Amino acid sequence: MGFIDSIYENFGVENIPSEPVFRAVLFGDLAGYFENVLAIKSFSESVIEVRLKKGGINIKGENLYVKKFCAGDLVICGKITAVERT
Amino acid sequence: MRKNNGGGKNLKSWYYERYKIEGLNLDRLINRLNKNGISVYNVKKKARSVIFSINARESEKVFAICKELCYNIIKVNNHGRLYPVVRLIRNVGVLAGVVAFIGLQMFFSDVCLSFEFSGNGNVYSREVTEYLIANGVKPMGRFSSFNMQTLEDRLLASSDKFSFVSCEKSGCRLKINLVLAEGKTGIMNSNVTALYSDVNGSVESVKVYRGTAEVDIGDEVKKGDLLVGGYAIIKEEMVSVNVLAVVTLKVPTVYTVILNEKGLQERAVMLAEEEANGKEILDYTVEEIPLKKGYQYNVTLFSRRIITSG
Repeated sequence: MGFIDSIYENFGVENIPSEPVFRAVLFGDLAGYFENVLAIKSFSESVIEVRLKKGGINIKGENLYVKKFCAGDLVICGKITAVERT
Repeated sequence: MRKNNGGGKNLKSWYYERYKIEGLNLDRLINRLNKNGISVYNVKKKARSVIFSINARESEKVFAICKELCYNIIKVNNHGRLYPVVRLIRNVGVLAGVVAFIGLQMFFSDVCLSFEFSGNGNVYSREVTEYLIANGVKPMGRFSSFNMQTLEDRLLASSDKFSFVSCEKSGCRLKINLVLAEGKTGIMNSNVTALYSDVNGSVESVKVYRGTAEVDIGDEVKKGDLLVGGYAIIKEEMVSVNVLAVVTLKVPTVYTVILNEKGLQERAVMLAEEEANGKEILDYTVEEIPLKKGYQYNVTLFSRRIITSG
């Protein structure tokens, strides 16, 4: 059983979809790692708009920049103050 | 000047290239690159341009995409931890030159080109040089073949003239500092009434400062022969004087070498020189005598002996 699956089971999360879902990992104020990202709609130092398979998210903060964007994996560095679902 | 961008795709994957793209709708470009499997790093927007890095092996794809979408693309620089290595590999001549330079420098820094004497004992520099050569320390030899401390001790022990000896390597020179012992003035002993030969040989040079030479250049002398007499003729009168002179003799030493074959004169000389233990050889002769089994080579090596009155 994978690490994420074991977390789902511990927290009693049910009906987990079989296709890949969006995941985000934030590293304090320093960076954020986002999985299964389709495309970047727009980006600037204060807001980065990201499109997902279903919907999108806005990542807000200061001095933001894309550290790496490759094959659905997105790493954003800078001070992330908010991640909003759109 | 030719730009060295060779090395193939293998080398290109070792470093990154940084580009500045100008144009409209730059977000679309980032997505387009990503769709084509190109990873982008350190993406930063500035006014109407975006700067990002990609792996160098994908540069051709990036150029193709940017041209297709009508962007202006400017290469900023190459970077990456392995980029210096790539530059060295692409400029193999520079690398070879650096390696050759370091190798030659290490080799030649170990070669002793000459001796330099200092101190009030340097009047004995010639004797000390002879001693050094006899003990395997000679010009064009290697510093690593002898120990400096041991050499100092041996030089000091070889003569009671010195109270202190120091040797140090200075570049490619061996600097020897000689300090005379108390009572040793460093000038010739002026209380000598005559100068005699202590070996058999032929006279190479005679320098008489006081006294009268009894031999001439080319004369054969034996051990005990008078070389310089302690007298001088002044106004037809013979006056006793103390001898002050330097006589150089060419001394033959015979070495016998037994070898199996005929015609090995050069080999016999080489073996004899090894036996001579580093003495400075001026000349040699070889005589070949057949034996019942093999050949006997009588090698005569001529070396220099300096006799002074002091």
